[in-house]
Amino acid sequence: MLNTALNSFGAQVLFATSSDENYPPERMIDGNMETFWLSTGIFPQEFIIRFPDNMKISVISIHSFNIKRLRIEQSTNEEAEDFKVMAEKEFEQTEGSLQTNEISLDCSNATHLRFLILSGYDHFVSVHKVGIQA
Amino acid sequence: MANQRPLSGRPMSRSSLIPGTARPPTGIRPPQTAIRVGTGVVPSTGRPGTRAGPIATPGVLSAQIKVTDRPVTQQGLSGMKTGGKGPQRQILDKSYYLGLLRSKINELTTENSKLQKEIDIFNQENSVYLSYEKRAESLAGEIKDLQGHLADYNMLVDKLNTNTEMDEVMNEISMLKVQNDREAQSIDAIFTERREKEDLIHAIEEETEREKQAADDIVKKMPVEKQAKYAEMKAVNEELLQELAARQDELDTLMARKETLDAELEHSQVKQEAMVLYERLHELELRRDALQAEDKSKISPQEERECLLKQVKEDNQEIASMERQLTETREKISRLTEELRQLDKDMEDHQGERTQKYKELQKKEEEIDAYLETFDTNRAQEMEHIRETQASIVALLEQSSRMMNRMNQLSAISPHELKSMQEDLSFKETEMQKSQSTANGLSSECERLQQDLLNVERLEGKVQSEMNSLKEKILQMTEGLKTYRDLDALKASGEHKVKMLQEERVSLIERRDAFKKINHKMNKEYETVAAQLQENETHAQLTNLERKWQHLEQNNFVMKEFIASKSLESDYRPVKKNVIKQLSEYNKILMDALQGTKN
Amino acid sequence: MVKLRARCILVGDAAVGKSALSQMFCSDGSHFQKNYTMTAGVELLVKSMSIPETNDSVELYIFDTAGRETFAETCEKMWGQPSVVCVVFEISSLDSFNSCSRWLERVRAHCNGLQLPGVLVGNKSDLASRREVETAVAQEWAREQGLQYHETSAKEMENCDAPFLSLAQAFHAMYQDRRQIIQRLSWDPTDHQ
Repeated sequence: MLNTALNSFGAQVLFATSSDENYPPERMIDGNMETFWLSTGIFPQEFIIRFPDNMKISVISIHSFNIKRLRIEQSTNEEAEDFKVMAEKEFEQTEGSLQTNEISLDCSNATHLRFLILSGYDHFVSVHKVGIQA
Repeated sequence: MANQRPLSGRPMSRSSLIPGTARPPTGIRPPQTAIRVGTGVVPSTGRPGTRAGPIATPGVLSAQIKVTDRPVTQQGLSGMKTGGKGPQRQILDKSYYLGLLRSKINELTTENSKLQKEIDIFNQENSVYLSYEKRAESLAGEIKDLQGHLADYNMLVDKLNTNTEMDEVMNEISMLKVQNDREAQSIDAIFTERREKEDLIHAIEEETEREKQAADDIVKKMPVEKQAKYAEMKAVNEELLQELAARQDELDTLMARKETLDAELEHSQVKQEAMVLYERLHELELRRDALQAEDKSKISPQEERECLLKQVKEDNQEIASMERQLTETREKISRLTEELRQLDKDMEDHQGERTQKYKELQKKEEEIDAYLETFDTNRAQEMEHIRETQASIVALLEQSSRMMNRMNQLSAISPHELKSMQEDLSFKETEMQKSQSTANGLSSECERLQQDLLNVERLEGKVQSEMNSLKEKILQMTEGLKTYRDLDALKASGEHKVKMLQEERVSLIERRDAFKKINHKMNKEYETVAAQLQENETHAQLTNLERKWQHLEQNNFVMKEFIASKSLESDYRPVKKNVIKQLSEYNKILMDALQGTKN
Repeated sequence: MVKLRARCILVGDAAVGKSALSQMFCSDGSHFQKNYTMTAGVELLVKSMSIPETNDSVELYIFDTAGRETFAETCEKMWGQPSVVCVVFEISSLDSFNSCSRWLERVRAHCNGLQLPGVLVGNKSDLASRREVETAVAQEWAREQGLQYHETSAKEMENCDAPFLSLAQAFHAMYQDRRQIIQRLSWDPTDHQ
């Protein structure tokens, strides 16, 4: 499940704070590592993924570059509101390769997931793939 | 109808054969008359008479006859009307005709009375008309007066319109007055004259009366016989006078009649012709009468013959004498003419010679006179002519001498050659002119062509560049063609793109909504925070203090600026620097100079 | 087409004309405060600049910081992670120029070692008669620090856009650079696999 594309079962990127038309946020959930979403400056950056149903999430995997601090929030609402912090993590800096991180969660339910990139190792960060495990 | 009646005595066959068609023509007529009567003066008397007859008796008759044709009930129902109508035509017996006659008589009487009435009305109207005529006359008089007034007023209006001066009008008035007076005077004169005439008439009448009386007296004084004779004559005279008057009257009437007849005659040709014929007839009658009279007064033929012979003899004698006289006079005439001719001849012989001579002399004299008169002018003219000729001779001589000189010079060339050369020259000159004009034309042509050449070169460059661009375009287009040839792929890619874009659109719309929501939320948060901040007292105090500080800093800044600018104004350092620099330079120069003098 | 966002920290001594310059720039020259108004804390101004010869643009979030030392500490808290820096001095004050290095250090301290494009601005070029900092000197120092140097006059509306345009261009160039790096990076694994 971690390797399948999120959009294959109906997940959507509801919101993203950066938008380069060449690197749209959908690229994070198309299951392809080569395509990515690129932030366009200034922190914090943020994006929200919506699932078609209430999902039970145990692990979130993120392939990214130059992210320093990431906070993940969840919402069980129909609308994208009332987010609660699930986890916050500082990533290692990498050079010449992507950051690969898996965040374990305590099997909480979520309809929306909010990813807050609080800071980066550079002015611009990229997210290549987001996967979840139920 | 007349034929049918004796056969059947009743119109049975008719009614049975064509009851519908037979009825209307006769049926219509009676009511018409009835209506006319109704409009007449005495309808009540006319109608019952006609009706009572036919209705009473034929009503029963018709019932008997019509048993075969119509049911009794029908007639009884329709009552008087049908009963009256039917039998009127059906039974043409004595009573019917009597009724008819009576009705006609009635009509005539009514018509008579109507006419009488009309006559009365006419009479009345006539009398009224007479009174109207009188009134019309009086009114016409009135109208005339009023027209006179109107003319006066019109004149006045004219005057007003033409802006005639008051004076003029006054003048006119005075003039008219004078005229009026004069005419009045003349009328007076005429009147007095008339009076006089009347008086005269009176006087004459009186005189005649007196004369009459005198005559009466004379008559009275006459003896009785004469008196009686006088009275008789007088009576005869009166009688004749009366007759005269009567005849005069008759004549007048006849004349009048003649005039009318003449007028009539003028109008008709036939009558005129008749009149002419009549007149001829009348003439012929007269002749006949004359002949008859002659015939009546006839003498015996013997006597007549003698008489005629006598007359012939007399006549013959007379003729002879006349002839004798005639011959005598002829002779006389011939003699006299002879004499006359001779006399003429003599006259011509004498007078011919003299007159010719005289005439010749006269001509000569005239000629001499004319010559003398024109001599002076002629002389002057001749003198002038001579002078002119002399001058021309001198000029010609000069020319000839010059020509002689020239001839000497040109003696080397024969005149013939000269002539040919001259011709040559003129010919060549014209040739040269032609060539010059052609040269000019050619040079201008050359210039034009060079210009054209330049243009063409320029154009060539343009064309080249255009061609290059076109070639590039062709390349592009061929490439385009390659891609566009594969229509299916193009379509597929296009559709794919459309799909992608639509998907993107959907997602973007969703994202936009999300953004809106989040934005809204954040705005709210911001507002609450801002409100909190505004409510915070320390914040207010701080802002106040900050503002004060800002003000102070502003003052500080201004003062600093002021100081800086002032200190710049009073800065002696650049001047000092300049002075030191110049001083050191001066020292250097001095030192150089000193070293120079030492060396 | 992309819209980049840059946090531009505007620093320099008090009354050198930071606020005047930024306001002049953001209002396209329609707004010049004749009187001095001290900035307490940080004024945030936003202005979008399109990068010449591209469809891209850079939105500059200008943090107009108070120059007075008293506010320095509070101001620094508001900066966050700076994207670009703009250090301002006035050419008629040598002291303000001398402070520049201090200001630059202060901003760089917030960068966590990130590359920080920056410009040095010599303001009040209209006061040439009172010039205390020669252009050459300023230019030399800027070169040493890896900064672009611009002389401006907010009062005379002279050259006000230039420093910000160069900042935007530098940021844009940086973005293009990072983009390519990441692109290459994400391709590499496929190559190796």
